[in-house]
Amino acid sequence: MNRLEPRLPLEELDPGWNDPGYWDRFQARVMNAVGPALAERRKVSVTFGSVMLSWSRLVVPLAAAAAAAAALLAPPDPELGETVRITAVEEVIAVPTDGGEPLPAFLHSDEEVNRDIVLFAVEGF
Amino acid sequence: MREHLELDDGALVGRARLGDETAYGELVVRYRRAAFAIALSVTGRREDAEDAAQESFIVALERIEECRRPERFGAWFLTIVRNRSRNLLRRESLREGEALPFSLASSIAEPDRMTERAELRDRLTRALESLSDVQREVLLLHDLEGWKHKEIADRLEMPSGTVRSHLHYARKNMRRLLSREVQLEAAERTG
Repeated sequence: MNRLEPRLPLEELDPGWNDPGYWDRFQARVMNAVGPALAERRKVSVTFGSVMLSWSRLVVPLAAAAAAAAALLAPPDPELGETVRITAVEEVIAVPTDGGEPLPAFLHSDEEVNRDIVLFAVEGF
Repeated sequence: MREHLELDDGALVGRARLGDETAYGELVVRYRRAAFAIALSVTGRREDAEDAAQESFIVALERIEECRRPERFGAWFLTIVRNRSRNLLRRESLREGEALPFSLASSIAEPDRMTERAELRDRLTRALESLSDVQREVLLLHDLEGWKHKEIADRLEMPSGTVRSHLHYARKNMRRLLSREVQLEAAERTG
């Protein structure tokens, strides 16, 4: 099957072949038939949308006001005490320890390992 | 209105679900001829094909939430058309007491049956009757509706090579049958 058979003239089977308005009439009949169902869908989607909108109108400002009030009124947590400094691993490696050297150099030094210093360097104790 | 022309099927389905009349109208424009071709390939009768195609658009909207891959609306919709056409045929055969083959049985009522055009239609539909369902669908979608191989492959969910093969043998069979009919008619005329 190297070559396809040539096209067949089937136009006679097309109802629009000798009736140019046929497909427009078909379209109109279909749209007329589905019109009520589409209108129903529009009503449902509008109702759903408007509910969401009314909720968002109410909820968003309330949430913003609540957040602002919480920030002003909430007392600081006494247990937190001093500010905790969070140190990244990269920072621990690069920044000198109390011994005056960055951690890798400190670990490779001949100095006797002091567990407390290493913990301090790694965890910021 | 024009913006809908540029939207793909998936986007149109999304809008139609919300009741967008223009979007659904565009889907109808895109698939009305294919719907007719598929329905004709099943029922073999123009009036039934029209009814089945129209019904299919109504059913498709009712069930549009079931279209899980909106971008593949065409394939999903043509399955509906095929099923509606078969149902319609079944209803008709129950009503008429016997199975109606793919034929122009209804053309008995056509006022222009004796005209040349009606004869040609008769001949074509008789020849189409001899094809397999899939050959008939492929042939009508391609040669009647002007769809490309790839479009048919996508919508009927089969490889493009298979479409070409069906089309080739469908045309070959049709030519053979039509020429045999012409020869028989000529033989009848010459006595």
